[in-house]
Amino acid sequence: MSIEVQNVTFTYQPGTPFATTVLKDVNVDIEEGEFVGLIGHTGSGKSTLIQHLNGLLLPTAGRVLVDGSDTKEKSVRRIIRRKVGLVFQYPEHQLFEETVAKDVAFGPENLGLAQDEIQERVEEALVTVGLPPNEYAKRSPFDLSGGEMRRVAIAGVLAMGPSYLVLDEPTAGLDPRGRDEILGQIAELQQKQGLTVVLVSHSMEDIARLVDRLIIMYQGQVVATGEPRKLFQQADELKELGLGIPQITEFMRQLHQDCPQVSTDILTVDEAVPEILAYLRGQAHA
Amino acid sequence: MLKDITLGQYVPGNSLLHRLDPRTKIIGAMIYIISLFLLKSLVGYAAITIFTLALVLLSALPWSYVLRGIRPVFYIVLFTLVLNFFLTPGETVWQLGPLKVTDEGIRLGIFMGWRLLLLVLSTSLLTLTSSPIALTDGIEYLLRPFKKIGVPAHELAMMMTIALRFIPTLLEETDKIMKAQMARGADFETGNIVKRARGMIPLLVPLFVSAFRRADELATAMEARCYRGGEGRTRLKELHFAGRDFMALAVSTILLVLSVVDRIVS
Ligand SMILES: Nc1ncnc2c1ncn2[C@@H]1O[C@H](COP(=O)(O)OP(=O)(O)O)[C@@H](O)[C@H]1O
Ligand SMILES: [Mg+2]
Repeated sequence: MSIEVQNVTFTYQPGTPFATTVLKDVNVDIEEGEFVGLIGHTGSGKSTLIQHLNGLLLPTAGRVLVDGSDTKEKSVRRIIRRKVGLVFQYPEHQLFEETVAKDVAFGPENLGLAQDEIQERVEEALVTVGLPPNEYAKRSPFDLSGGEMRRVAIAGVLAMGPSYLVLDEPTAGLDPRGRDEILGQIAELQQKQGLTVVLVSHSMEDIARLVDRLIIMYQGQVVATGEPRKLFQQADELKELGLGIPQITEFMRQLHQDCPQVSTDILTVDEAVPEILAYLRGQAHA
Repeated sequence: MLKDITLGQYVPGNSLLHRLDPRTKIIGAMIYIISLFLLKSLVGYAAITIFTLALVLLSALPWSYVLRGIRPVFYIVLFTLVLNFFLTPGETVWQLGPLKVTDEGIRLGIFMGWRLLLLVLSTSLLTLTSSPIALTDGIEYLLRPFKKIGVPAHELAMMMTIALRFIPTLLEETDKIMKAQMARGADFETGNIVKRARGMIPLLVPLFVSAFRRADELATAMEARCYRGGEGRTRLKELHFAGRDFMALAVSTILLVLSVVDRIVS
């Protein structure tokens, strides 16, 4: 079970002076249970690519297979939309119901589920995103804070019970705390439920330490894919693509130039501390 | 979905038509339309058709794109043709039951249909080669003389500018919200009228919410920069007539005179 993007090319507004080819021969595989980070400079085509994963956009050339079904097939489109949950950027802009519970129920209702099943899923989804139902279910989504609204919107997609969850820049415009909360919940969801997650971002800082694999896009093409640690060894190439590496990794790289014993294979401060301490102890003994 | 809508369909460029002053283009378009309705003779129609095609060439726009603008009026033209064919009195050419096609009907139908096509083609040239801002600027200038009789020229132009400015934004927003709700299993395309109307709620509510939010933000931003109507307001881009504008207006005047002559002669 996987999503396969095969030789996908996509052009917006084909046949007009505004035609722009935004994806060029993109090949990507997303395996079940994976936690993938899709990263690239603004305008590199990330949002366009992920809209192909559930058939909202159809490739101009090439094809997208979700668990073996082509997204171009009309007959499987409903199933694909259910399987691949897509959370757009600023998803709080799509809220419309009077209460949080009703809004989250919109997706499951469209699936034609029974009332008590819907009820159950709504509560489960709200708990997952850290909004206790007894406190939030009856409130109006428009009275919530930005971060809370966003979590309601994410719950709305989770309640559909997707096997793949795709999130487009879920932390855009949030404060550091709101960002950490959402990323933490996504990571937990991925680990506990074995959900396949594709996390889109333009910030290495956010996703490098979370994901198993990074897919790097540049001007509509996939230019590299692999484990974050491996990719960061080529920090200079990444910079050319308009992408940084996490600050702490950059710090360790610079430290490494003066003190060749320290490793540069570091993604978090928690990893850096013992590494530096070990180095200092080594120095003291020498 | 919404990709076929090419409203405010300005195509940036640097052709002669692009560089003309918007006022010239607006006046020119009005003269063109008057001429079009004055013309009666076959020669006149042929001449203005060639003139129009020359304008398209001058605009340096791709033909396919210019012609695409005609597509929406295709049915109206067809309707005009059929109506004129059957309803104009004259010599019967062909009969189907009580319906008679007359020779005069064919002539009138073709002329009317042709006229409509040229009308749409020329006005779409105006919007294709002028940015919305330039057009509203032009309209504001042209409306100024009417200020004395209470026409709020500046306010009208400002409203048009804002409306035009937000059409693409709103279309984009609509597209995005539609997609987001479709990702949650919403269906905007099937079902009876009641079901479809209900189906619009998840689209319209977020759209209104965001439109009001944008309006509010824009008003604040304008006030923060001391906007207080047109009184004493200067402009970043002054409109200036250049030599080519006088040439263009001269050509327009000649067109008008020739059309009047055509009308009188035939
Ligand atoms: N609806 C659209 N119509 C035309 N061009 C678009 C549309 N959406 C995005 N684009 C263009 O496609 C390119 C890639 O956009 P996008 O996929 O949103 O990139 P990213 O999400 O990586 O920032 C950009 O140059 C953008 O201007
Ligand atoms: Mg994007």
